[in-house]
Amino acid sequence: MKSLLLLSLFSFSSLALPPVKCESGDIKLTIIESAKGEIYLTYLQESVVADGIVDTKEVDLIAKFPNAGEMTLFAKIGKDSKDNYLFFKGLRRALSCK
Amino acid sequence: MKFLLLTVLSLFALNLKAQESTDIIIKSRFDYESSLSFIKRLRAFLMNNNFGDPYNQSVQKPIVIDLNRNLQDLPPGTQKWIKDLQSVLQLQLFESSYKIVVNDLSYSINDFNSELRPTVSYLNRVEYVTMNYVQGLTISATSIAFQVELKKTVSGDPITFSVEVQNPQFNIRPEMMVEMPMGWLTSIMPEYLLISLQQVDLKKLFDTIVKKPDLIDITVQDLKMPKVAIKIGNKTISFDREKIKKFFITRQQEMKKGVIDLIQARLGNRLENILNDTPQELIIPRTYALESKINAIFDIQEMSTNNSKLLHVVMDAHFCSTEEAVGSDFCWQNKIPSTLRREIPQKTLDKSVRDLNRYMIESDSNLGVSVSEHYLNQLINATMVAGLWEKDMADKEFHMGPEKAFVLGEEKGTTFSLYMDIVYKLKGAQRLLVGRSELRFPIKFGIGLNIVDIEGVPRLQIQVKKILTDSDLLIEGLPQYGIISTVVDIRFRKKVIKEIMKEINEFNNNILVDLELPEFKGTYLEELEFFSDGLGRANASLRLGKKNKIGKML
Repeated sequence: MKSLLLLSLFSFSSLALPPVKCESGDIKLTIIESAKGEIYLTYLQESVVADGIVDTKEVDLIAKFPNAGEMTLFAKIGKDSKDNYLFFKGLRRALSCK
Repeated sequence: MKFLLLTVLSLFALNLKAQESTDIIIKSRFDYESSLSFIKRLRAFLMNNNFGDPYNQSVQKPIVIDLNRNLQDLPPGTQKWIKDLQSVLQLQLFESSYKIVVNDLSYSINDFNSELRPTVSYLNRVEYVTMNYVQGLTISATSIAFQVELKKTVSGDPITFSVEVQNPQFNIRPEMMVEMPMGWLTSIMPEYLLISLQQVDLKKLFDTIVKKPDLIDITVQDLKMPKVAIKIGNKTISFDREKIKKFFITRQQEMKKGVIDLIQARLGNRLENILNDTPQELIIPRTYALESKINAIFDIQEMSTNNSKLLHVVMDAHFCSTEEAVGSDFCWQNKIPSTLRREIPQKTLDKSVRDLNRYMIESDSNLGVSVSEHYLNQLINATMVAGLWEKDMADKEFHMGPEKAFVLGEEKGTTFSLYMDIVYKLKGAQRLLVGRSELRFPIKFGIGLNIVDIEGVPRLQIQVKKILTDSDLLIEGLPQYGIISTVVDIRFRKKVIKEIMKEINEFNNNILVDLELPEFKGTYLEELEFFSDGLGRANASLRLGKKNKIGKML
C-alpha cells in the first residue's frame, strides 16, 4: 500500500496537470501534459506526443498516430459548445472534454 | 523595482520580436501524392545547382569484396559458381588472394514515387527522409574486375592481374517495386542555407532484388583479360583465355546472381549508406532578393518540424527602395519604413499558428503561407513608394494623407480591412460653399489579397471587394491610428458626405495594386488566395497535385 502511494505520488508529480479525458462517440482520448511540457495524447492504447496546448480551460491539439493516422481536436474543457470538435479520419465530430 | 522594470521591458521586447521576426511563416506537410510534385522540383533545382541528381548517382570509390573469406554465407548456387571460377582461373594452385573490385558502381532510377517526411529537428536543423518506391532501375559499373594477386613470387613483389567484365548493366524490370530511402538535412547557417544528402540506402533494394534475380536482365559490353603465364618450378601455367571467356559468357546468369549475392552479403551495413562519410552538400543563400517594381527581401530565420511532422519555416521580410540598396546589403539598415499599427501578442500569434496547423490537416493541404499584418503594411508602403497606386487615386480628387494606407486583419473571412488616410481637394463652387480648400478623413474598404495567374505570369492583386466606409467613419475619423477627420464641422456636411460616398463607391471592384511576380513562376506561389484569420494574419493554403488546389480557409 505504501509503495502504491509512493508510485501514485511520483506519477502525479511528473504531470503538469491532471489528465484530461475527451470523448467523441466511441472514441476516447486521454491527454496528459508532462512536467517537461510534452503533451501525450492516447487513443486505443497508442500514445504520441501531440502539438498544441492543453490547460485547465482549453484543448487545442494536432497529433499523428503511426497506426490510427492524423487527428485534430479543439474543445473548451467542461463545456458543451458547438465549437468543440474532433477531426479524425476525414470526419468532423462533436467532442466533449473534462 | 529594477527587476520588475527589466522583466516588463523583456516581455515587451519578446512581444515585439514575435511580430517583427514572423513576417512570413511557411508550413508544409507532404503525403505520397504531393511529395512527388515537390521532389521533381527539388531534383531539377539540385541538378541546376551542380548538386547532381540524387536519383542517378555513382559511388566514387571502388567497392572491393574479398573472395578469400568463407563462402558459407552465400547461397549454394553462388558458392558453386565461385568455386568453378576459382577452378577456371586455377587459383587453387597458388597462394593467392582474390577479390572482386566494382568500379564506379552507379544506379539510375527510371521511374519512382516518393514520400518526403521530416523526421527530427533541432537548432534550425531539420532532417528528412525521402522514401522512394522505385520501379525500373539500372545498376551499372564501368567494370567488375575479378582480381587475383599472387603473393609468393620470385621477385618478392605480388603479381596482380584481373579479368574485367566491362560496362555491366543490371536492368531491374519495372514489375519489381523496390524501396530506396534517402536521408537529407537542411540547416540554417549564419550566412547561408545548407542542403545535404546524407544517406542513400541501397540495402533494402539489394535485399529485394537478390530474392528475384529473374527480374534482372544483365548486359555486358566486353570481357578483358591479360595474357598471363606463371612459372612454378619447371612448370608453366598459362591461363586458358578461351575457357575463361566461355565461362563468363555461358554462365552470365550465374555471374549476375553471384555479383548481386556478393554485394548484398559482403557489403552488409555499408549498403545502408553508400555515401559513407561523404555527404553531398549544396550551399545556397538564406537571403533572397526579388527585384521587380518593388524590391522585396526574404531571409530564412528559423526552420523546424513538430511531432506531427509539419515543417515550419519562419522568414523575415522587408522592402528596399532601390535596386542599388538590394545589391549592397539587402538594405537591412535602410528598409522602407512602416508603422506598426497593432501589437499582436505572442499568445495570439501562437493561436494563429495552431489554427493554421489544424486547417492544414483537416483540409489535407500540403502548403500553408501565413503573412503578418505588419508585413502586408510594409508591402502596401512599398507599392506606394513604387507609384503603383497613383493611377487610381489620380482619377479621383483623392490624395493620400500622412498616414497613407494600412491593412488590418480584424475579422476572419475573405477580406481584409484597408484603411486609407484621404485628403480630398475641393474645387470651385464646392470650395466656396464648404468654406475649405481640402478635407481629411479615413475611408475603409474590404479588400481581397490574391496571387493570380494571368497568361502564365503570377500577379499580386489587391482588389476592392466591399465598400466599408460609412458616414460615421468619415465624421469621427480614426484617431487611434492618427487619422483625424475634418468633415465633422463643415457646412453642407450631408451633401458633402453624399458626394464623397459617391466617389468612394466608384472604387468597388477596382484593382488597387497589380504587381507582376515573374520570379514566382515555377514555385508553389503562382496562385494563392489569402484569407484573414481574424488574429492579424493573412493565410493561404494549397493542395498539390496535377492541378494545385487553392484552400478556402473560412
